[in-house]
Amino acid sequence: MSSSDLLTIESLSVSFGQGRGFGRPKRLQAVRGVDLSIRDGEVLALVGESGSGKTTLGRALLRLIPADSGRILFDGTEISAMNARSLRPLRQEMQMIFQDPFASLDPRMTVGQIVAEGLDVHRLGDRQSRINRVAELLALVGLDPSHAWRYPHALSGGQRQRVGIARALAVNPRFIVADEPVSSLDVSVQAQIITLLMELKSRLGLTLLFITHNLGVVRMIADRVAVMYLGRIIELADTETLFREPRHPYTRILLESVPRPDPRIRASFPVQTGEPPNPSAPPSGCGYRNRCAHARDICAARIPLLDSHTATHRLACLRSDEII
Amino acid sequence: MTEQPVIEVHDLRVSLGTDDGNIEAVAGISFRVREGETLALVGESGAGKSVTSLAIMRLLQAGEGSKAVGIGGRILFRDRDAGTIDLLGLQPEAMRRMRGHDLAMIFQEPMTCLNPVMRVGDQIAEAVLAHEKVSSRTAMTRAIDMLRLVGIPDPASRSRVFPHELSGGMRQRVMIAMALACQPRLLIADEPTTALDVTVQAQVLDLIRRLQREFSMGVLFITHDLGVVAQIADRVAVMYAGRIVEEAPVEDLFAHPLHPYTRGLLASVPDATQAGNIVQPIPGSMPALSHLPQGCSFQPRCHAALAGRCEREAPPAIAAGCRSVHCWLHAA
Repeated sequence: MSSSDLLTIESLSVSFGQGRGFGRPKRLQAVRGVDLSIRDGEVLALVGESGSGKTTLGRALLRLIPADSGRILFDGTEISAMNARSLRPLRQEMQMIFQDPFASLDPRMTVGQIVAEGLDVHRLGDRQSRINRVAELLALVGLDPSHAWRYPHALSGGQRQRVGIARALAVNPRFIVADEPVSSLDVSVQAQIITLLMELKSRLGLTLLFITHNLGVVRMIADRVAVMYLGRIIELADTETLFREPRHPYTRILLESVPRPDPRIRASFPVQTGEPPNPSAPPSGCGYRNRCAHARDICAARIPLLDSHTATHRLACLRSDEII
Repeated sequence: MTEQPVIEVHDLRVSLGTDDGNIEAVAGISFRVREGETLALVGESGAGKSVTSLAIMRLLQAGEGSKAVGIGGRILFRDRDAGTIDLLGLQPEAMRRMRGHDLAMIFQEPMTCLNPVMRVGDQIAEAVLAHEKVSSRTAMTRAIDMLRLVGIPDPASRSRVFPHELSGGMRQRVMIAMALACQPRLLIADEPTTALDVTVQAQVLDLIRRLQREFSMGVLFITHDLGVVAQIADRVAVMYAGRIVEEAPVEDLFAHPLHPYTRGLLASVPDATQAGNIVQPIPGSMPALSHLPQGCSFQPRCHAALAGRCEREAPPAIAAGCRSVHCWLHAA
């Protein structure tokens, strides 16, 4: 772990119980031995298709769900083995913004109560200072102080997501996991929320893990990008390196599949062969090999490790030397 | 373009009953879709896109137990014998015969139109049998051919599976196969790829493009994704608060958007293919249809609004060549 890393995970694995029927209970391995460091002050985007383990990884590294094995270090302190009580002060430093602003706000609480909840839980300030802090936070995310008295149902999707952001910022966190924070919003509102998040990030010096499938947003805001496939990170690079010189066959297909908002350049869509993988019955070796045009026998026999391709580019592909 | 219009919508109005009283969800829109052409209907949630498509399919009926309280205007459909029918004037039984045969619709969520307890081959065959006098054996052969056409591997054995045994992308293909089994003249696609992963979306868009060419269908493609619009549409109609505010050929719309809302939308989309992309968001959000502002509906969010004009009077339609825009800025 280098001194500039805020959060580091080492061979983290997470699985879920599946199938409560007859026979032996199955486990679904959602995250498979992931190593990752998030640098202080960066925006790291985590991309991949649904079911690739992005959300599970984001929740496990905040210890919102238990991991099977592996270590999590936050600012040099191992948090993977901490009990709930010793973890509590650290929870202040790590917050989450959720995808669905309709589902993640308690409909029976006012906006003021929702934003102040973290202050109450962590016993920050007295009653008056909490009221002031709520007003300050609402202003920070572009809401009117009078919104504090309203209930979530009276707000638009964009306003609700601003409340979600204010709630996350209330306890002055250093690190935020934002899980698809704009995916359920309309295009014009999406742009507002992304702009707001980026302003807040630089003003407050936040570190962000940004989970998304929107590659346009990734290219705009991320410093680095990690691509997940079937529970593993298969490529990790600086944003421009990844977009200009993707190396993993899956990353290439992913980038070529994004419809380009320019009708003068009508590309034929790339054809991804095969079915999306089933996480409860993954193939041996490389998780992508069944759909990969470059797969050979070796890909079924060995699991590719995330190795350094260049100083700023890591890649998990056994055939990377042969694929230009 | 010399192709005949498949459908012409004239001054379509749909009002819906809500808790806030009656609202005009579609406030007088007109457009046409020609054979082999794709018209993209673009806009944000609540703009009236889906209500428009449901009105064309006559799946919104005024009357008891329905939210629709009034549908006005004309929806002219040109059938195979080049006769013109106003869909709004059809008896329910006659409309039922046209649905699935002459015009078909696909949805965002395939499970809304697939029967979960019926094998997929039987469902497609049933759609064929409903409209054509063929034997059930012929219908099943057609179903398997359709499954092959939409790119489902091993279609004969896959025709015997149930929808839940298929992935999301495969279900989308089955729904497309069912919609196209009778070779409709018009396909309405309502956000068909929104819930799909980007690699699967690419496959489905490719499929729709290919089948359209093969059948020379008109396609009304409803979406909020401007990347998809750029890749699939011939013409684009932009909806805002129940109205079409701009309509143009796709290249013109992207190169020279005229309406400030269209410009704002295009500036809101970060382009994954460009380094250093930025977005310029439109302030505010679309007004509730129950509380529309006076004059132009977009005027409270518009940076170019003309004081004394835009907040007083609704803008007229200004036509120029093959495009049109509803905006005072472009009035002579």
